[in-house]
Amino acid sequence: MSTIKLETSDGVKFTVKTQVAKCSGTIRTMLEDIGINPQDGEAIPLSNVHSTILQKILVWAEHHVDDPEPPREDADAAKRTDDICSWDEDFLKVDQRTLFDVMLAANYLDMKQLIAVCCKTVANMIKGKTADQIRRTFNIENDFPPGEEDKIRLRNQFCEERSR
Amino acid sequence: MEESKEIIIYLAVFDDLPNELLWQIFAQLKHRDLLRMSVVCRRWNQVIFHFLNHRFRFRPQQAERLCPDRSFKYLDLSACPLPVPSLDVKRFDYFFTTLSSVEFLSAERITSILMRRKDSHVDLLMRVLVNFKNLDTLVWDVPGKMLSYYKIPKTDQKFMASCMARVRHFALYAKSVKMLAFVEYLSEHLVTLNVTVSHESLFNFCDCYKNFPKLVALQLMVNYTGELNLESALMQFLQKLPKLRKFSFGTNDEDSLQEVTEAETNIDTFEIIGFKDLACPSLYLIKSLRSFRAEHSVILSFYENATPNVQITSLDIDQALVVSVEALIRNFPNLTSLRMSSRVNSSFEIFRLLTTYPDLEVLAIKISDGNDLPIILMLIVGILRQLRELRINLALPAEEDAEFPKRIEMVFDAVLDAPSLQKFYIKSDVQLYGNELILPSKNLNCQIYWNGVLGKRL
Repeated sequence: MSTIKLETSDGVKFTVKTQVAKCSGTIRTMLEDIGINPQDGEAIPLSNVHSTILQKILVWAEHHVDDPEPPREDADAAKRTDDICSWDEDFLKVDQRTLFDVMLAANYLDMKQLIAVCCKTVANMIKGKTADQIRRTFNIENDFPPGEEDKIRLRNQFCEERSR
Repeated sequence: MEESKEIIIYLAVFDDLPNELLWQIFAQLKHRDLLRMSVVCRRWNQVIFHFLNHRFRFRPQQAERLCPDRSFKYLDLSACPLPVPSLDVKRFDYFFTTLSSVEFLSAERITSILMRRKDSHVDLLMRVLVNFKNLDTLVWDVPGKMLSYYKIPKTDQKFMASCMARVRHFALYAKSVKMLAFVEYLSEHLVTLNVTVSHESLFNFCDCYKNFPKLVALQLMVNYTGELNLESALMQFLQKLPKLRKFSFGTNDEDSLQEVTEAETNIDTFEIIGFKDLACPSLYLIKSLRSFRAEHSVILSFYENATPNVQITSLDIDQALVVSVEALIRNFPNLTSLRMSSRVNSSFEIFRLLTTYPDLEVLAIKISDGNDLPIILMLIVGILRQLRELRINLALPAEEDAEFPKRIEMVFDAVLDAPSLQKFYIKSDVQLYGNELILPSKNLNCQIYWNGVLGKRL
């Protein structure tokens, strides 16, 4: 089985099965379109990904390497968020910052399935919470000028309280 | 794998996520959660505003409807659920004070609204009409049941009606007796009206005490298959419309057509929708009529000794499958526009049509045998010296003929010699080489389309 080497931002080198590495659209493009030859033993630099995160992502890729291509979905329709498989659910039971780091790395590596499952996880963390609870959960600063928030709230009030 | 060195690494926070990831997260959430999130911080507020704009389908293909400030004038409510009434909202509050962001932000700008859903509320229609002050065009297409929640007393109805936008173009396809009240509210300003009524509401509609002083085009669809027994209700109604010029009537009841032809009106265009088998009505009675159109694949028959409809110059029976050409000529002696591209015509019949109507300006016709195309085209451009627009529905040539596309292109050379021809459309299963039509560069005013693709000039 062919393998390739990946080098993370902190200089750690990983040896990965080519098939697993190709879960990443970015790496796939490098190998297939740009024609980087992994047999040279030279590592592909992933300057935006830290070794701890890459390690985690590789575990995910290894598990999902044989997944079929997902069907194209209508991007506009609100999708289901309760269809995360239990393996992924356990996999993403990490602290928030790691989760965001995984998302950013997956975004950089162009791994659509992983991004989708992360986004669903975050959406589930948001659902049903008030603005204050969301701010506390994600440690977001309320940067509205005084009064502005109330104005928007008033505008949204009807939907917020009564829409079904 | 090598051991990672101990370095203090930077860990991401929510704010590090790029907008494209935020959009993906928002895509998982419902309207209600999003509105709540929009007050979390400024960035989210902006991203959510744009996201909702996208979800509400303010689509770029509507770009021609953009306001000068590049905001949209067109709103598709089908995808954007405005709040529906509920127990704990008082009537007045529902209509006037508890506005959603869409209404708050764009109520002034929007001039056109489309609503196409399975179910909706009569009250929602009322709310749209009173809040979007500059609404001009409204299409309300709700094939399911329209519910009504609030009971509005007579005295308040007047007040509500006075608050409504002065909609001029209104299409209403919905099942509810109450819906016709909206037509009455808006009657003063309506210029075009498309409405579907049940059998009994047809009578209410015709008895409508309101006038339609500005109504120019009316499409009336009757959702009933039996006999209507109108007893001149429709006739009297039509006579009350001073500006009506175009009337489209959807029914299956042949007797009701008589009410239209016998009414004293000024309509110049009459269209009938929904018949499968139709005896041509006595159109000659409508003195002002210029154009007659029958939709759907009708079998059009003519009474043997019918009075010719000399005043009619435009006949559109494009979908008609069975028509006797001789009877057609007897009934419509003065055509300058004829569309009948579904019926199979023999070469002889086509020749008969061409010699009968040498002044045709518009012609749509079917040619069943592709091998006849060259000669028929020669005849058409040779006889019809006034022809502006030609549409040909071309069936496949009888045998597989590789030379066929080439021969056709030679024919176009002759077509381009016709001085008056401006548009020539050919619909065909035959594919051209490279799907492209290359034409000689003469008579550049004439555009030739092959299956909707404009032919290029050398």
